Amino acid sequence: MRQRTTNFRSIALAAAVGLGGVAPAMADSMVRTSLNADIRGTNPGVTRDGNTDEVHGHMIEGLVTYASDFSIIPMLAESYEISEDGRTYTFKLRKGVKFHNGEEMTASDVEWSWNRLAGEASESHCKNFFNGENNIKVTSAKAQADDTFVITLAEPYAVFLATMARFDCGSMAVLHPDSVNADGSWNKPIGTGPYMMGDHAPGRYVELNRFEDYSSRDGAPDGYGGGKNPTVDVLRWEIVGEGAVSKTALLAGDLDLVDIDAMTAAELKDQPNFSVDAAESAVWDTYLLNSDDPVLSDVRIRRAMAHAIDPQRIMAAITEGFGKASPSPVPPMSANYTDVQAKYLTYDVEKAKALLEEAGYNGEEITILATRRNGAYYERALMAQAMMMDAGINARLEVVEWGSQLEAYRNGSGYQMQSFTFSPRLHAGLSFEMFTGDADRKAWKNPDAVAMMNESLRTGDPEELQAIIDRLHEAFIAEVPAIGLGHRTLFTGMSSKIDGFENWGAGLLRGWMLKVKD
Amino acid sequence: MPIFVLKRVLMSIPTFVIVAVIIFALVRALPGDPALMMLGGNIDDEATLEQMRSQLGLDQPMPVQFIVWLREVFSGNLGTSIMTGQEVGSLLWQRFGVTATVVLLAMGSALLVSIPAGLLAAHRHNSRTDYAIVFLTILKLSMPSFWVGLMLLVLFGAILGWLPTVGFVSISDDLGRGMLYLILPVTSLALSEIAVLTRMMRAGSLEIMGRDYITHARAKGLPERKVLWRHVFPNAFAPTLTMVGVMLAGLLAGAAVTETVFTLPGLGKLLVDSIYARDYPVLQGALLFIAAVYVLTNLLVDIAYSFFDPRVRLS
Amino acid sequence: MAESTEHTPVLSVDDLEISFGARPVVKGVSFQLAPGEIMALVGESGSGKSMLGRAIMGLLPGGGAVTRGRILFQNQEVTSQGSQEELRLMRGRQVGLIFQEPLSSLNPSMRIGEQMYEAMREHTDLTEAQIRERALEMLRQVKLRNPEALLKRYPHEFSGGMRQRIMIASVMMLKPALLIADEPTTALDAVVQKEVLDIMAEVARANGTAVILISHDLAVVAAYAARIAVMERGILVEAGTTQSVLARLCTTIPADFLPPRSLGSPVRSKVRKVLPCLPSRGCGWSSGKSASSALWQTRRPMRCAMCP
Ligand SMILES: Nc1ncnc2c1ncn2[C@@H]1O[C@H](COP(=O)(O)OP(=O)(O)O)[C@@H](O)[C@H]1O
Ligand SMILES: [Mg+2]
Repeated sequence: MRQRTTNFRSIALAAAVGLGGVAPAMADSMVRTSLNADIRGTNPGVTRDGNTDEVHGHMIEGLVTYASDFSIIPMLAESYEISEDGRTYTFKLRKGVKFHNGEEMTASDVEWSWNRLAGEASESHCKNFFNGENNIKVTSAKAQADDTFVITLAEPYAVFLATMARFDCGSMAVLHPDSVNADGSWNKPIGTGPYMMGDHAPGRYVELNRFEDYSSRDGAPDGYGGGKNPTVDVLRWEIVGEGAVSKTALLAGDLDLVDIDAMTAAELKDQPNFSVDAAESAVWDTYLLNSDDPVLSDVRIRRAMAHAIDPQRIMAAITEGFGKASPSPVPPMSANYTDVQAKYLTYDVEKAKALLEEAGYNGEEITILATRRNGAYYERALMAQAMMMDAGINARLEVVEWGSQLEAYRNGSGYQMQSFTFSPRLHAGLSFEMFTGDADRKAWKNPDAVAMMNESLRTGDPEELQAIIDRLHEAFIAEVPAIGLGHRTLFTGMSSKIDGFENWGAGLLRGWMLKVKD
Repeated sequence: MPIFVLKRVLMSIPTFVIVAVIIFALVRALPGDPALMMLGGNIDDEATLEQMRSQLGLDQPMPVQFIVWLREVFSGNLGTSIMTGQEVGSLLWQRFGVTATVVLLAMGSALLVSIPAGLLAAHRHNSRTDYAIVFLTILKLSMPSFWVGLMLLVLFGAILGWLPTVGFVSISDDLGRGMLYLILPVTSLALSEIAVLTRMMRAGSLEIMGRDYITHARAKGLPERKVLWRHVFPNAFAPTLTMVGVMLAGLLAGAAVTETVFTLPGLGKLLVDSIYARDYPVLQGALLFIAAVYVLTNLLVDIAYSFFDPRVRLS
Repeated sequence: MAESTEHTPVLSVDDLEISFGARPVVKGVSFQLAPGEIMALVGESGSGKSMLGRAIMGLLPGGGAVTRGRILFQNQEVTSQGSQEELRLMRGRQVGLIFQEPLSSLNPSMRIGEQMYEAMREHTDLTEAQIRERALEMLRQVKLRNPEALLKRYPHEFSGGMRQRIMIASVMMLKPALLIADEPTTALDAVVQKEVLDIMAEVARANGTAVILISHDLAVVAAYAARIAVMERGILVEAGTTQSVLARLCTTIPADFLPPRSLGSPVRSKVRKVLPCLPSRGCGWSSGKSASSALWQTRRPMRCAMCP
């Protein structure tokens, strides 16, 4: 039965391909996956969001990128050098790298691309990362020779390279200037990545076609870099809004590779013809606490809450037993994750009760803000509520729409506690920066912590960085500006004909590693 | 009749202005910030947020934003999507085409089934046939349409493998394949409509069957089939038609659940997505468009109604 | 007409019982109707007149059934398990039915013409043009003006009296042997009532159609009928020639209810003021029309036989 079905499908597919004309020939291999919303556009770093970045990441590359352990490795740069004073970065470019239009990449293309995103006229938010708005100020970015590109900073800043590698800026994508029309308007991405833009039917699907002349680095794939030797001819993302539907499509053989939730993973695990990949990511699930709140301003209350909540049980529940707790904001795959980061306020109801008593807690209501949204925001809040009630805390759940919760998050007010999630930060300092600082939304405003966090971003010395991160973590546990749960387990369901899939901490699909078995 | 249509259209203009004000006010009253939504909550710095806002024209005072929008709307420009940069006007039209295809096909097939089914049930009142029809409609009404859609997908897509589960091909591009993709969504939508319309048709027919003119039609010696089709149906259909109008207007405004389950790029999906993304231009444009769909559908239903019930005068 | 047919009744009802479930609503009713004869069937509301009429057409409402006795129409048994199809072909073609409410007995969503043609199409092989011609002729017979335009109009465009005339035209088009007129004028005001009844009687006579004229108002119909049958709670309590029944009930027909001389009313000579029978006060002289409508309201008309 199954077999017949498959035949029918391949015939239908072949027919479609034949009629489509632009689509590749019959022998071409294709991997079909899904996105829950359409891409915002094709302009890397400009028309983007999380979904879009994943698609763009196949077409474009920058000078540097992230390795699996989130260290920085060269990508389009052959190598780079940092001057003694830490202000000048000299990038040697790889030779013979071809753009999708066949032209060879030169340093002037790199300079043009840099200015496109970071220049004064840039439409990209990325320029704010380099114009002094946020610590880093680039004073010059110039092609020095055909194969040499030099960036000078006003002051040394350790996370400069990590900032350059950001996914939301397409790793400061190097594009051919023909990506832009003569009038300066956006045309299409002509990058150096292993895939190039194919068909995009808005609201329906996006297709990327394999770039035949892709110039790969040597070696194995590593994080978002390393050797990329794409074998699948077409990557196709269907826009499927509903998880249950993409799961059904996977079972039907209409999709080959799908992000799934824990429950589906548990269900699919033992089915023949399918496989499930579960990987811990750098996505941090947490509860943010509002320390400005009259009740929560007492650190003993916050500690009591931390002791009342058992992250192990909650993580096990929301991952169907696949995941485990890792309460530190620093993800376990980070080079900076040590025994210190493994520490947290353990589940201890008696201790929680004692702390509450000591703080003179008198049944004041504590509201947990949550939303019904993928990512178990609601389930996490619900379990925390139950556990807090067990410890004698009068916790109440308030379920709001995502937009409203974001508003509360941004204003840093209108909530006492909320279940929240941060996307991957690939530098230990940034892992703290995401909730530490002066801005309203930041949960941790303690000046000492902010100073330490800033220092962690500045220092270029690995040992010093580790020391600061350790101190930050200790302070984090002591002050409890947030209660960490863990780093989210990402599940991928695949048809057994897909080979080569590996997830990594950043959770972005790397289509160039995929293979289709015959 | 043309005068009637023209009058109705002209009369709806002030309604539209009021609707526009309400739409704008409601949309902007939604908590949440599109710039923020776009950054996915991962705001790294305020400057980025501000830059995004001014790009979107959200840094202007609210009345200014409204006037700008209204002026553009009246000059036929609904703006561009914050999310994708597409022209809202053509986007709406394109999405409406998908929704309208599915909805009209579903309504057509639903009527083809529910009119005879309702008449039959009424004709065989209190028989097993009648009970079976009533039972089936209640059964369908008690099942959530999202679930039914998903089950259809699982059955015909995953288990039997007869029909595709994801994707969409426009029938204007490829009729054969387009129809293949339409079967499930049309069926799913039609099932819900059949349940409602069969019940309406049955109740309407039962009422009409008690009328003297039906006995009279039988007394004329007409065969039962003709009594049902010529005398019961046209009179029993009038209330059903009103329901059809209400349902059509609602569904043409977007069959969000069906579109989500069957991955159709329709108006309903667009509306839901634009609400979640706080894509103001799309959301405002879509709501205005939907208001127009309502006005037009009602007009068409009124015209159709006068056809079934000559006592209703179009004036 | 031949002698033999004079003696063969067009309708013969014999010991008829109609029940809804276990409840009989017509009990042991027997009567005969000669061809071309007009019989008034009177009785208070709910006494079973309509059910009797419907049973003759084989059109009892759901739940109702003939539980005893039989109905012979032109020597054919209507109540037997004879084929439904035969019964259907009899309807319209040989037995016509007119209802009380002219408002509700015409299909509101169909043009008059269509409604008139339907039965002709069903029962005859006439061409469309011939059918139309016949319809126009009938409309003229019921004294409607401008019949051509009328055919294209809808029922709601006419007054009650006109609609009932249209009904008469429509039913009589097929020249049925029997017409059952179930309270055909009850919904109309007095002047129009008489107009319509006059026309009906005239058309029936012209076509040799026998009529069962059902009414709850004896005074209105009596003058048109050669015979009167009175029903009470499902039982035929009184039957006989019009004159004898009227005499027994101490009733006469008010002058303004008398049919025109041309129709040869069976009670022409008995013009008197109405003598209403009220059980509490016995009989008394009434002042005319208004009292006549109260006539049949009396519970037990038979007692009036003792009136002066
Ligand atoms: N459809 C029906 N179901 C049950 N009983 C009925 C139905 N129609 C009439 N009846 C009963 O039959 C009896 C006779 O009714 P009907 O013949 O209409 O009276 P009439 O025509 O003399 O006013 C009444 O008691 C009435 O309640
Ligand atoms: Mg009656």
